[in-house]
This record gives sequence, structure tokens and C-alpha cells, in this order.
Amino acid sequence: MDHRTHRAAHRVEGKSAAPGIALGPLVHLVAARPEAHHSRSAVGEQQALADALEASRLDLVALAGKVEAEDAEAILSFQIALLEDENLAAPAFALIADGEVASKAWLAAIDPEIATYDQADDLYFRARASDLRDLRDRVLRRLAGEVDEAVPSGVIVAAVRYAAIGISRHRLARRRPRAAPRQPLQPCRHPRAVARRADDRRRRYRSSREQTRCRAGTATPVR
Amino acid sequence: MNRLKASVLMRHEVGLHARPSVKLTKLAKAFESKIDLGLSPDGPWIDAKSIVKVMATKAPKDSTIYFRAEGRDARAALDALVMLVDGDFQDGP
Repeated sequence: MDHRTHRAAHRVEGKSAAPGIALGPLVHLVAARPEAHHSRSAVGEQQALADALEASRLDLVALAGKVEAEDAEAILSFQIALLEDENLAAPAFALIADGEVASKAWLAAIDPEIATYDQADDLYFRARASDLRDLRDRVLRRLAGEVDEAVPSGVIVAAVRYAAIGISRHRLARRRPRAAPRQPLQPCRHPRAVARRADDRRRRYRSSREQTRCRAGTATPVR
Repeated sequence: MNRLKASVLMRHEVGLHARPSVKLTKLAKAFESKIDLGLSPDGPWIDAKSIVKVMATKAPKDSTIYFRAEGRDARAALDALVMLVDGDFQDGP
């Protein structure tokens, strides 16, 4: 219990972005999600996507005017150039013409692009996938009618993903924070670990057979 | 109208990544000619004004970039693009 706020204490586990101790309000950043409803004509959906792309471009231009770091400016320039390229959204407009809603068409167009960067051998090109994810979420938010909110100063930011200039790709969640679910551990792929797991499986199988036989009165139960 | 060609060795440390691609496509768009880019003299060719296509080449350091241009300002476009790539995009990685 927090003695000042008289609220139950919440524990949020994660990886810190910087060393040290920080005190302040916790702000959760929530990734944008596609709108599922279909209430516009194909022309309306195409116009909605065109408007969202242009609004996102203007957001980025405004953001680029504020940043001073050269790397941040370069990434924003890259994202602006992507939005100005008709090839990026062309598959989405084609899907809308075939009856898809704008948000899902946008996802169908940009997710394969993101996947090509994710699969790149070169580390630098792989890193560009996050820039495209940022772009994807930015346009989705605009399609949902959301407006970017600046993260207030003096807060502790908790997000699934974090990039230096990627904060605004998330919607600010004003609700009380909940603990993030733990990710399931992946089994170790070391040959010894694989062999040990195989032994364990054999032992369990043998054990279950013996217990079955025990119930039938032919063996001693395994403790 | 004649189609002109040019090529240049790209020595940029991390290849045709985001910053060089932005510069290259911006410069290409400054010309009205149709400009294509390829990684071999026979193509395949992609639109040099599209950053989506240019980045998709994932051209590494020491790739030879081939250009072909068709239009009224094709020669000026090729000269400018070759100078940009040869000048290491005017900055480091």
C-alpha cells in the first residue's frame, strides 16, 4: 500500500532503458490497433487512408522540425520519404477497391514490407523494421481518429517496445497500469539440454506405463 | 528519345541504407526524366524515385549502382546522381 496515495502497490517488470533510480508517475504506452468496423464505401475508405497518410506525414514533418539530434532527423526524413512514396500504400488502395476496410488494407500492405526488413541479414536493415512499425501504427492511429499526444515530462514510460523517437507511435493509456504478463521461456537448444529433455520424456512415458500396469496389479507404483 | 546510362561504385560504409536512399530519391525526383536504378548492367531495374524500391535493393558497400534515364534532363540527372554516390552521399554512415 502506498501511504501517500492510499492505493495498492503495483509492480511492473521489464527492462530499463537507462540505469539509475527514477521516481515519477508511470505512463503506459499502448500500441495502436486496427479499426474493425466497416461503415464507409470503398471511396470513403480510400479517402480515409489518404487523409491518414497525409496527416501522419504532416505529424512527422512537425516532429522533424523540433528534433536536434542528427540521427533522429535522419530517421524522420526516412519515414517522411516512405509516406511520400505512392508505392508504399498502393497495395492498400488496391485492396480497398476490392472491398477491404482501410485499416486492414493498410496492415496487409505494410506488414510484408516490415517482414522483409525483419528478415534482412544486415543488422542495419533489420533495424529499419521498427521505423516501419512506427509508421504503421502512426497511420492506424490516424485512421482511428486518434491524435498523437506528447509524453509529459517527468514521467516513467512503460512500453512493449521503445525507441528514442518512437514514443509517439503509442497511444497514451491513462488507466491504472497492470503488470505486464511474463513471456514464456523458450526451451534451450543446446544438444545436452535437448538430450536431457528427451530422457525426461522417456522416463515420464516409462513411468506412466508402469503406473498403468500397477493399477492393473502387475508392478510396484513409481514414487 | 535516347535512353542514357551511367554507373558508379558505391563505397558508403553501410550500403544503400536509409539516409543515402533518402538523398538519392530526393535528387532523382528533382528531375523530370524517368530514372531507373539497378545492381547489374542488365537490370532488373527499379524506379530510382521510389524509396520503397531503392531500399528494397539492400545494396551493400562496394556495390556498383547502375542508372538509366530517359527524358529531357536525362544527362543532367545521371551526372548529379553519379556525383552524389561517388561523393559518398556527402556524409558518413
